[in-house]
Amino acid sequence: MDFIDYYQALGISKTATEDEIKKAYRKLARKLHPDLNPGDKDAGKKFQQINEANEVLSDPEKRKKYDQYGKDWQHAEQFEKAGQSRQQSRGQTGGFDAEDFGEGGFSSFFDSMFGGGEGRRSRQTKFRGQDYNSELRLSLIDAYTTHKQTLTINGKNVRISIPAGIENGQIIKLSGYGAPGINGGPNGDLYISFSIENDARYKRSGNDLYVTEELELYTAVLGGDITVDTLSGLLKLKVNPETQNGTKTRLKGKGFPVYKKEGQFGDLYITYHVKIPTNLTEKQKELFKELSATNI
Amino acid sequence: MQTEQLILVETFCVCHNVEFSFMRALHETGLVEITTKENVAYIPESNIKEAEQFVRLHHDLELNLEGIETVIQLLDKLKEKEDEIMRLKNKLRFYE
Repeated sequence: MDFIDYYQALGISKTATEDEIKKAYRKLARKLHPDLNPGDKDAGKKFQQINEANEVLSDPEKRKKYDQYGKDWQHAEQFEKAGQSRQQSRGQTGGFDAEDFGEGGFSSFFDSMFGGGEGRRSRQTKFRGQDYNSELRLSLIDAYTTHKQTLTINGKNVRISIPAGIENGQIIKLSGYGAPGINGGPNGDLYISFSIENDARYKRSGNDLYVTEELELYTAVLGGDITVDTLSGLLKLKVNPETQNGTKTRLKGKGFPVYKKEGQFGDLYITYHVKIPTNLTEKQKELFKELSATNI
Repeated sequence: MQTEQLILVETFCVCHNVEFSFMRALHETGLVEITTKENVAYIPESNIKEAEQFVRLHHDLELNLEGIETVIQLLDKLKEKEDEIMRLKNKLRFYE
């Protein structure tokens, strides 16, 4: 655990009064409380720090000890022993002052200075564990079906079920999968943010999918059947004669699954892109000329 | 048939160091569901997470009931706005 300067954590001076400490704590607690900052990984940590700072600085005895030893709490015991021996043999050792250990800066003291574990505090404050945040990248095809994935969060494997239809940027909260609570407090939560990659073929807007399908000139002119590849499989479609370039057709229920609504799907919009033939033979050119002469 | 796990309100109060009257007040404002069976009050297990959140807001931030209600409403609104931003961003992505 990183140790903090409690005065700095609360944004107060070392001469702050009890009232000033209380006021500073309340102000920061309202700003940083994890319940008011869901998904903010820093807020939970900072909240824990200001809680710890408040617990020490609002207790005159603890504050005195903290002020006395500052960042060099580790030498506190040694210092006290030296102090005792100095009193016993004043003048012989030359002694040293608390300033020799420096003051201010960061303190690393809570557990060590006030005694870790049980009974260290008059009222054991329960802290909710820190929230974890994770990002999961999925292809559009992955997001199309409900599937399971195993994530490794802080060395632990978490198996999650990803419902079909999840959106880009959507965040799923897994309650209790964050850091363990402190002093019996509840575990934090795990927030998984989904990033859905763009697909080369399909474009997604909400639950609808858009695709551009190339159409042979002759099929566009004369009509016919084509086979279209969709996320739910191959589909046979009838193309009307004289279909214009850019014509859009809607296939109801062939789009993306609606999140957490089993059996419901958006629509698939197909835009036809009529392909003009290239590398025509002389004969074909002649035929086109003939056709052109008919003034269609 | 699905069965709902119920937790004694009294047990909840002891565990979270909160007055029974506070839980009753949460129930009266519609924030927490409490069911009474044979004169014993219970909270459905599905409500525990939320109830714990209200207790934390009450203890940690010294919020009264009105404060908690306001915070919850604002958090809901915030969530709605975040979802809307996400939807709009995805729409923009469509035209990129």
